[in-house]
Order: sequence, then C-alpha cells, then structure tokens
Amino acid sequence: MIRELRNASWGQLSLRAAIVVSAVIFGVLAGLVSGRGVLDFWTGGLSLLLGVAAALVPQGPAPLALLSYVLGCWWLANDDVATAWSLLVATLVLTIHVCAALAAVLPLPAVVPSTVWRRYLIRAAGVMAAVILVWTAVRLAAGMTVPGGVVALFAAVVLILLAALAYARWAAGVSGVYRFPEKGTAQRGPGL
Amino acid sequence: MNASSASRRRRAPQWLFTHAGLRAVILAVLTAVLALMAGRPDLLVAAAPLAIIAVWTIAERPRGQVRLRFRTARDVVTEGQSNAVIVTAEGTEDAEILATSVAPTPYIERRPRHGARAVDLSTADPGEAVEVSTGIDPQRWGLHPVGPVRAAAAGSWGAYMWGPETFAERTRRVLPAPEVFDTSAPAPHPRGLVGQHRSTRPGDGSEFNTIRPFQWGDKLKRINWTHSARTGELHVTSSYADQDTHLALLVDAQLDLTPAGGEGPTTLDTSVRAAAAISEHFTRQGDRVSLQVVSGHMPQRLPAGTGRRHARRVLDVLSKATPSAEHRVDFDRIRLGLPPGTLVVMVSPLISPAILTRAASLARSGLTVVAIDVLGESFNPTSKGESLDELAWRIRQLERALEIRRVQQAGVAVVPWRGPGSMDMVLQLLARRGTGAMR
Repeated sequence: MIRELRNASWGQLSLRAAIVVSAVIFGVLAGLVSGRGVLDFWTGGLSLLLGVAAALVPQGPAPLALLSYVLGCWWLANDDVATAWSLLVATLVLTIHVCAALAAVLPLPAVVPSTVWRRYLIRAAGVMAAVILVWTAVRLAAGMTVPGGVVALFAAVVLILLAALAYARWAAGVSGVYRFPEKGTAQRGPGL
Repeated sequence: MNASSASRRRRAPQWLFTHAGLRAVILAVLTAVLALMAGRPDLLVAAAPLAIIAVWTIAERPRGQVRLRFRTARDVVTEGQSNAVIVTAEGTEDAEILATSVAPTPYIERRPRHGARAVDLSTADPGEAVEVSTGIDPQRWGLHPVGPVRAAAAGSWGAYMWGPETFAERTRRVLPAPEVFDTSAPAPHPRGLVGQHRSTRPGDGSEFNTIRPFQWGDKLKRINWTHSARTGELHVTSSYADQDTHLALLVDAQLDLTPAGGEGPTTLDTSVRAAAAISEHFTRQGDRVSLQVVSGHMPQRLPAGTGRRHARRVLDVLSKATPSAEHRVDFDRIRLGLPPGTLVVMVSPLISPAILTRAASLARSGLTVVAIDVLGESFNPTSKGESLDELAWRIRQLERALEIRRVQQAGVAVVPWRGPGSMDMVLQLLARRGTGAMR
C-alpha cells in the first residue's frame, strides 16, 4: 500500500493528509477537553493510528472506525454539552468523511479535477452552515445563552445562502467542454 | 433460473452503495439514537454533517444505467506515433465523477504517467456521451496488449458507485519505423520488364546506348535525323532497357541480443527497422520485394510484390517477428523458388552459424547475396565488471569474424548497417561483376 502511495497524485495525497491532520487535531482536542493530556494513548495515540489507517485504506472500514472513535470519544470525553468545540468536532467529522469518500472513488495516481475540489468545498461550506444552525437550535432549545446570540444565527444563514448561491452560479457557469459537432460527444483528455 | 444466469445477474454492473454512503447512514442513525437516549445534544451537532450528507445522498440516489465502452483510437500505429485508449460513458446524468485507469504493459508508455484519469461529469450536458482518453505511446514495434482497462462512475458525495467495470486487454499492432535508407547504386541483375534500373541489354528505356543503322521493327520516332542526314543512311538512337529487380529480404529473427544495461535498440530492433527501410526504398522505386523472416517459432513469408501497399504488408509481417532459434534447416529447400537474378539481402547480426550457412548456400546456388551486419563493432551485451562474460563475448566475436570471412569466401558480400548508402559500394561492385560476366 505504501509502495502504491509513491504513485499517488498530489490531490490524493492531500486528501489523505487531511484525514490524518483531522485525526491529530481531534486527538489534541479530546486530550485537552478530557484533561488526560495531549500525549495520552486513548485520546491522541489511538486517534493518530486510526487516522493513518483511514488514510491508507480509505475504501475500507477504517474511516468508519475512525469516525466511530471520534464520536464515541467525544461522548465520553466531553462534559459540557453546550461547548462550541462541538462545531470543531463536526468540522473534523465532515473533513474525514468527505476526504475518505473522495479518496476511495478516485484512482490513486489520478489528478483530482479542480472543479471537483471547488464543488466539494462549496458543499462542505453549505453543510457546515447547516451544522451551525443545528448547533444554534440545540443551544436555544436547551435554554442556554448562545455566544454571539443573533450574530451566530445570522452568520450561519448568510453562510448557507452564500454557499447555495456560489454552488448555483458555479454549476450553471462551468464550461470548457470540447464537443465533436458530428458525433455530439464531449471529449476530455490529452488526445493524440 | 439456472446457476450461470444467476451469476450473470449478480455480476451485472449497477449502482452500489459504497462504504462512504453506508458510513454516513449508520453513524448518523446510531449517534442520533445515542444522543437522544443519553441526552447529549452536542453529539447531535458532531454527527450533523453525516446526517445531512446521508439525507443528501439518499435524495440524489442515482437511478440511470451507465453504459461504458472502451476502444483504441487506432488499431495499427507505427513506432513513434501516439495512440489512445478511449472510454466512452453514456447515461451519466446521475454521476459526478468518471474514473478510468489503464494497466501497465511492456513497451507501452501511458499519458498521464500512471494511466489513471478522473473527470468531473457534472459539467457535461445531460444525454451526451462523455469520452475520456488516455494516451498510450508504443515504444517498440510488435504486437502489444493494451489494457486491461477499468472504468467507474461515482455519485454524489461518493456514496454510490457504478463499477468498476473491467475491460479485457486488446492486442494492437505496432509497425516498425523504417530507418533512414537510400541507395543510388543500380541493382546487379535486373530481370523484370518495368523498372528504374538500367539493363545490360538494349531495348525500350531512357538511357542512351548508341546510334546504329535502322533495322526493320525500329520505331520511327527513334530515327536520329541529324546523323541520318549526314551519312545519307537512316540511323536510330538506341537505348538500354529499363528493368526492375527482385529483391529477396531475409530477416534473421533467431536471436535478439540486448545491449548491456538494456539501453538502446536490440539486434532484432535494428534488423527489423533496417529491413523496413530497405523494403520501403526498393518498393518505392518499383522493384519487387519478397520477405522471409527466419525464426524457429514463427517463420513468416511474403511473396514478391511492389508498391506502397506491398511496403505496408512487409511492415505487417515484420511486426510479427518473434525471436526463436531454428530447430532444423533443410539446405536442399533453402532457395525456395527464388528465380535467377534475384538479389538476396540478408539482414542479420550474423551470430547464428545457421544463418551464415544459409547465406553461403544461397550464394553457392548462383544468387547474389548481400548480408547486412546489424551487430556493429560497438555492440556489447555483457555487463561491465563481468570479466568472464566479456572474455566469452570476445572469443565469440573472434569466432564470428572467422565465420564471416568464410562466408565472404563463399561469395557473400557482407556490409555493416550504416543507414543511407550502406549497400552502395557492394551493389556497384556486384553490378560491375555481373556486367563482366554477361559480356
């Protein structure tokens, strides 16, 4: 597997690196929140190991194990249900899931098209905006004071609208497809 | 439903839920249940992205049938030309990404380097077929497999996947690229009726022979009026006949020596390219060229012919040359209907004693034989530092020099392959010898 990684494209390496980095960030966060320290095996070490496994075999069950660990660990480590760190955990969960999904469907040496990067970034932004809404709703339903109050809610709505607008514009405006007029087919590739 | 149809149905490609899709659904449901049971809304927030993605992917579940096909841009290419593997995808309205990969095969270089490509399908117009091409550049002549090729389509968030479908490899022919070759020397014994070589006999042609008295049967347009007026007797300008020759190409495919380090062309590469160049030159000038590939595994034979089509046929046959030593040589049948006057050109590294014996036998049977030595003086198949190998190679070279001298004594002209003009000197000598013999 590691030998195959030598042939991996820059895009694939970036996706896999993002999985590992997210796992490490979660390990640090879990260590700090639980008070066990950054170097604790059950928070930092295991997170790193599962992150590396998920990065090496994103098409297998390793990402499921990593995400299960992240959610389970957060459940056990976090005592403050109202904490804003949940948003960071949600971001890490989203990053791990999306990067693993993309890395799994693309061939290892294939260059990830720039339009795919753009689309997934916009989508992820949209999803995160919706998560902020969920978080705000949860805080309000629990009768707690929302830090930033209306500002956070407003920012989430604006973010969602911007993401939706950007996605719609991008989806409608993307062009550059060469057509064979006589066959009516679209050609992509280096050609001859 | 019998077992085979059941297995066919199982294997039929379809949209399948991936690990990513399953992961999003399972974790979203389990975390939501756990959050509600444990009263932990922060867990809901942490798992919210997965829940949103799960709902999104289920809502955008692909339903159409994707049809994937694979072909190559060209069935036959020449060395140095490019070819391409083209995967055509239809029915990709529900797909977002199409990924293809071409497996590595010997003597085929892929573009991009590892033969894998991914394209964004969301920018394609619905209903249009999408073509993804991967360049394949053949590095050597011969029959080469292309593929297997794999192609897959992925749905939204990578939650659904069509395939990967695997297409079996296909064999594509790569013709040898003829080396540069040219000769201005005449063929030694032109025998045919039409051609560019000056015959030793007078007849219809363009080359001046002499002015002689008019005879019955001479064409009126050949009367030389100046000379006739001066002498008071009818004289005609006679010419030499233009004729073609039969060139029998013998390519030695018994051995294929690779230079040390594997860099550079092998002896068979040089033989095939030299033979391609010679046949192209002679067929272009109207001579008849026949071909025989001497090999134990797959001897090939092509009857004499001329013209561009025949040159292409020669390249076809040459591209099938497979190195293998002959098991048995029947020297009684070695001439195999080559008519008198045939110019036999043998292209060989002149290492196998069998091929040298064959050349000597042909020369003794009365044919003009030119052996082209493609080995060259600098060729060395032994690795540096292998003193025993080097010694063995030097001994073999000494033996070979002796064998070549014997063959030359038997009447075979041996010339080293140097591209253009390689055969000029020897053909001129042979033509002169032929003229003398006829006189």
